[in-house]
Amino acid sequence: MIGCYDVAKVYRQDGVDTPALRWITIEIDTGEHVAITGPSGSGKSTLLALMGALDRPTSGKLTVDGMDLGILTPAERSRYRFEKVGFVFQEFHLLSHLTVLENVLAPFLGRAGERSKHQVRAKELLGVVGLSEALTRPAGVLSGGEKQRVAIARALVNDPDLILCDEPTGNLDSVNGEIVTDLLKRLAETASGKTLVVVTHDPKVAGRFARQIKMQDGRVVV
Amino acid sequence: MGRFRRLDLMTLMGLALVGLSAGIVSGLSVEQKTYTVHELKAHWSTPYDLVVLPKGTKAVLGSLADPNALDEGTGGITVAQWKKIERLPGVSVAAPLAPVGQTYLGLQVGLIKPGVPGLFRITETFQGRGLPSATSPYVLYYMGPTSGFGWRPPVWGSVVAVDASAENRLVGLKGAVTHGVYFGPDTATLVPASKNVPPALVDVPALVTSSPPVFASDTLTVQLLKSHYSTTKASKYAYEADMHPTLPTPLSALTGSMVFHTTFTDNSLWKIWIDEQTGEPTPRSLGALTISNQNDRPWGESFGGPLLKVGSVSYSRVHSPFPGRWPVALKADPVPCKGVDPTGCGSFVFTGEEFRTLTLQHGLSFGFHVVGEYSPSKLHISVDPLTGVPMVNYAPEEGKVVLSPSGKAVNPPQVAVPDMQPAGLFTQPPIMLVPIKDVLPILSKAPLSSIRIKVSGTGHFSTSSQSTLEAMAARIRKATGLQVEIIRGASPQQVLVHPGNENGYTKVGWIQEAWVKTGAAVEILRQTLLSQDVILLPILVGAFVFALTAGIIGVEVRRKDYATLLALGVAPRSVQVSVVGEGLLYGAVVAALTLVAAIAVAGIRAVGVGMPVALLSGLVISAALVPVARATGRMEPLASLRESLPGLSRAVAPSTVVGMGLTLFLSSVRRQIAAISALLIPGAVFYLIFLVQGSLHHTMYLTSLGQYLLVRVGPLVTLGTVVVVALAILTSAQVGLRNATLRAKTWAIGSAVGWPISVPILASLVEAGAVGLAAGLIGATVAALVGDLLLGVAFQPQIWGEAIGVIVVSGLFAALPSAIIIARQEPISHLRGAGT
Repeated sequence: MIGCYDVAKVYRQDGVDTPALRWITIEIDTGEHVAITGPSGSGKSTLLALMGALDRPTSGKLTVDGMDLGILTPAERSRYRFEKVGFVFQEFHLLSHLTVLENVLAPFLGRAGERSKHQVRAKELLGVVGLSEALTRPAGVLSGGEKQRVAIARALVNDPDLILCDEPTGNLDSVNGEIVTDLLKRLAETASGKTLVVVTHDPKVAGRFARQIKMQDGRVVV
Repeated sequence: MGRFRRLDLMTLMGLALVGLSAGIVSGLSVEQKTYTVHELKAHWSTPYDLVVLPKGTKAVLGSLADPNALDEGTGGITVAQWKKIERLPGVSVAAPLAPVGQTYLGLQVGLIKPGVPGLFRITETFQGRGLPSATSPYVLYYMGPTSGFGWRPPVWGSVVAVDASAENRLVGLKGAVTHGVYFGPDTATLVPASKNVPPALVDVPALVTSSPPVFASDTLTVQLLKSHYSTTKASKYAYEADMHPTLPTPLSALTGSMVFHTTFTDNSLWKIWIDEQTGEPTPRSLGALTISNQNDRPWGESFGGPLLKVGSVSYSRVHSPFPGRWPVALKADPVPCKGVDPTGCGSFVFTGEEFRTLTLQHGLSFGFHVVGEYSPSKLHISVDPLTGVPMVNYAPEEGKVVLSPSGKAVNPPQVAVPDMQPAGLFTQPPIMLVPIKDVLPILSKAPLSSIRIKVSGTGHFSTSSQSTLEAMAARIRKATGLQVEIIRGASPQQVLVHPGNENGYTKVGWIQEAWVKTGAAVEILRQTLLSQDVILLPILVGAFVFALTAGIIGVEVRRKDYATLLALGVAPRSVQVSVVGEGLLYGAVVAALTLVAAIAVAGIRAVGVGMPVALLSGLVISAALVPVARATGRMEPLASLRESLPGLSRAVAPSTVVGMGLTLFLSSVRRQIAAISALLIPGAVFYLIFLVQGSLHHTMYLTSLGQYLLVRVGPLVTLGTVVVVALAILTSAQVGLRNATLRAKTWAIGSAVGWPISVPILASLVEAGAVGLAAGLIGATVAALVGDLLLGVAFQPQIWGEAIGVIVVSGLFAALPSAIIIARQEPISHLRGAGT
């Protein structure tokens, strides 16, 4: 279960404080599929980054399965992301010099022995997302939809309990957006017990999730 | 100072470092040149200017001369050659030394009367300071109740012939006479040979030293043997033992009881002998023994003795067991005897401890009478420890046993000095001086072993004095064909000497001896000036590279700012002017710092050197930003605005951390070339600095004079090294920070997908190591080629390796903080924005 209790995040730049999250308290059960919606600047991506331990809350407590993410060391946070979390970003964030298969296997860099064990699963996932013919293509030459499908396969390769998607269709056209959304739902549903949190400002995407959390000005409004 | 605080801070630090170091080096060079010349002038004096040695002498190896070589050996220079040198214009003194030989000083110690009849075994042991002891073969005596035996300890001294006039002008010998008179017009008498009587040279006037420089002790042991043999049989066995000392006799195994045992120094014996000669009242006893002059001649009467010639030593270079401390190690071997009478060569065995060959002078007898006594301490001999080379015949040679025969350190080192062994490793200063004109009839055709020369007009240290000496040396070589060494400006240098495999001397181990390094003063001045030039040049080159790198990186990280300005219609020229203006500002600050630092170090007199260096360093810094400004003005705004994550190479599979590091290294070829170019110049500079240090090592670090001056000159080299290291690290740090900044998004993506923190750190280090290795290899190789082809300095593999190593290490050192900082940053801050 994800628990946010009075979580606040303030960014400070050049001596100026900019609050991104204002004392948010929500809970998301394990296996729940949730969409976080809201206008640009409402703090939804910041909340997602905190859930993925990509950043720390300024105050409050954020727990995942009872683990307080705010007090983890950088190494522990790295381990948490590797073992528990799969990310899908709006900007895809693939490593352009790596092939499609290498990008999917990228999480295992620096973890001896893991890479070879997950080769088969990586290829299976690429088959599921329709890219089994593109294993050796450089990621930099893929279309936006293809890149996001590679990113989805990468997010799932370590069999995470928590899948976090930040505007996964934001950089895609409507057709590819549909494909990606279908894919995410399908993958999440086939793996029961996995928690899926999708940040989106697209009402059509949000409408496909049973629970929606709406945010505005750094606060949860529904 | 804006968004790129760390880069800006490093740039400012580097510029301040350049300005201050250039100023300090300028100031130090002024101050040190003045100091060095002043000190060299102060220590320019030596007892003589040149020394002439026999052609092909074994006593000179390169620029090192044996301090033992002056007054021993078998000569090699003719009187005619001496006279020819003496007549050369510019030669003010030409003082020859001719070894006459070692003579036995007849002292009778006795009479030892045991008081009981029986067979006695007498043993004599010699102990030189720092040298192994030696026990002579025992002697057996059969004595009655009232009989006794006399003992003649082997007290030897060297006799050297000098020219009375020249020696007086060179060292003031006449003024050093404390008793008696100086050499007068008397001449010795040569008694012709007759049937069965060899020719005899008698009544040779002699001056005897008041300070006999021997440091050995003798121990005499007398044992009464428990013999069951009859008197007749014992006498027979004793006679046989005397005739065949190496064969065992029935007497060898006999045990005995001590009846007499005494130890005394040879110096005390010698002193007694000298007092006898000069008529001084002296106690005629030594402990329990009474002393008598064997011939018992009073003051002024002739005293005769046999003469032995000591063979010379040849030296050969051997591998030093500790080359860092003693780069020069020598093996000393006695030169085999090539006398006219081969049977005489080496036939004189001295207690089984002979090192050099001894040749008995057959066919002549020799008699002299002491006319006076001189005190070596009153001679006009340089006593400057920095240039007071021991290559003078009046001071005893001294060494230190520093390593045992097995090569282990002797701590503390044991002082080794001349002992009573006439054929020992160290030269004994002469016990007697005789006029060369009187002994010529008994000397060889080429009797002189050396000629010490004073040259007019060379009293002060200057390049013209050195030129005069060199010209005179060349003239003497041309006129005589003899070997000439320039001693003025020489300084002692410690070398290791290992006595050859002759008899007991191999037990000594390694002896440290002060040899004479010729040309030290001039070489030191040359090296000082060279080091100043070579240190300043790298700082300026390093400054240029640093400023260029800082400019390129500064523009690179602000690329989008400049692109935005250009896209908004700002003229490229305006952008260029702003970059050049920044360069001029930097240059002005550096120039001001340089001048202030130079004046702070050496005062107002540093302005002469400091001002040009300040202008040069300011110009160098400003000039470095000109190409940067040109590149900025030519920037395509659209391409720069669109630029996102750098493309990476596929040459190495990035499936491991090392592979990822190498992939990063091989990516963005243009950027990596810039990074390598920035670092290869420090690599080349290091090679040159290490070459300078190696050059300094030859004379500056090894001679007494050099070590004295190095206290002031050394910091300059160290400073130069530190500055270049600092600039290399700062340059590397800039490159590392730039790489880390550019790769921040890569690391953020990796971090988001769960890479351990070690991945970006290790991959960054691999990349930095590869850049450093490439830069070091290219830089050091280019410098080695330049050194070899242009400067004529042979390729130095060790220095080459060290230069590469320094660049690699400084690259790694500098990359680590940036990598750690980036790795520990929150990934989200780098994930926002455009991406692949």
